[in-house]
Amino acid sequence: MIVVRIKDVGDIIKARSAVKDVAEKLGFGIVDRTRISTAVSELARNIYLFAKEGDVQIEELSNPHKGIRITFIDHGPGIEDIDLALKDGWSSSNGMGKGLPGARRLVDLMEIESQPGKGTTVIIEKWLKG
Amino acid sequence: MSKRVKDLDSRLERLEGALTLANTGTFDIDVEVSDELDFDDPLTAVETGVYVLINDMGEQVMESRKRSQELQDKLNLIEKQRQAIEELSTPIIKIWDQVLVLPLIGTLDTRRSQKLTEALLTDISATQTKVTIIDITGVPNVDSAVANHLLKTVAAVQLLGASCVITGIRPEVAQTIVHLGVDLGGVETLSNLAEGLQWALNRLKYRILKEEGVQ
Repeated sequence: MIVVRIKDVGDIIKARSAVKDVAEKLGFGIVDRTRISTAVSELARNIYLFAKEGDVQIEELSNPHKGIRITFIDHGPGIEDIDLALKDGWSSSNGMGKGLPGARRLVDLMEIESQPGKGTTVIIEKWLKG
Repeated sequence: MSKRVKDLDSRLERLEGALTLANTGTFDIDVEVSDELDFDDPLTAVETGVYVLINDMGEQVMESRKRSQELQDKLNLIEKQRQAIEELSTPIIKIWDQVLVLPLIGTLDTRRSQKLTEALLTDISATQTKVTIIDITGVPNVDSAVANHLLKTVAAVQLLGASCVITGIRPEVAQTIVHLGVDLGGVETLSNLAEGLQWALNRLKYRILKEEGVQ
């Protein structure tokens, strides 16, 4: 497992390129690699924007799906209303409101666990098809 | 049998002084090698030990200060290079009369895109530019933040009365943008820079004709 610590803007790029490397090694094509790294970009930026710091963990999946799993952990303010946060166009940061819902559309699985005041964990998975 | 320790009070005081100085980070004590080093004196061994230890610590501290200074220098160098790259990687090129091209390379963060927009807007108004081509062939990732920056730049360019086209969206980036749900519908986009130039020239009513009968 690879862990990238998010502390400033540059770390978002670090996380993204680490994920890209792993995805390429696992045999993901250019389109899926771009999807995965864009989702990572969104979620790592959320850590930076809302929690200031956190971790991005990258691991390989073999069972039941071959693929990649990326976990985003922070101890920031948490998400009050996850359903609302997943709505297109809703943003608490003056952004476009595409971060969470967009990231969800780019991957095969996304799970969010959040406790207001305690932090947020987001897990995404992208599976190799065929 | 206990031996007599000479000048006990003053020597203890000196030891304590040296230790206090060491505690505050000052290690340059002069180790006084007395001519009459008396090894029968039980305090001499302790004194020598303490002074040698402090001296060694001083050397180590100097060494580690030197290292951290070197590290700091390297970090400064990296920061300088980053700035240099930042400047080099955002050229604004006047490619034709009233046509500017902004070829973007690498990652766009908020700071960089603000600088870019500022530089671009200044150039547009200074050169009476009518058409701006933003080429993103060199941008590997367009996430919602980057897309947002691009949209804002385009909007600002249009406010200055120039038209703006984004070129060089790679196929995989295009698919990702669609999945993200970012709407670039209000923005003119073309597949590559060549088409962008053609578009710009069309808007300015230029016509490029191939000369007939010339080999």
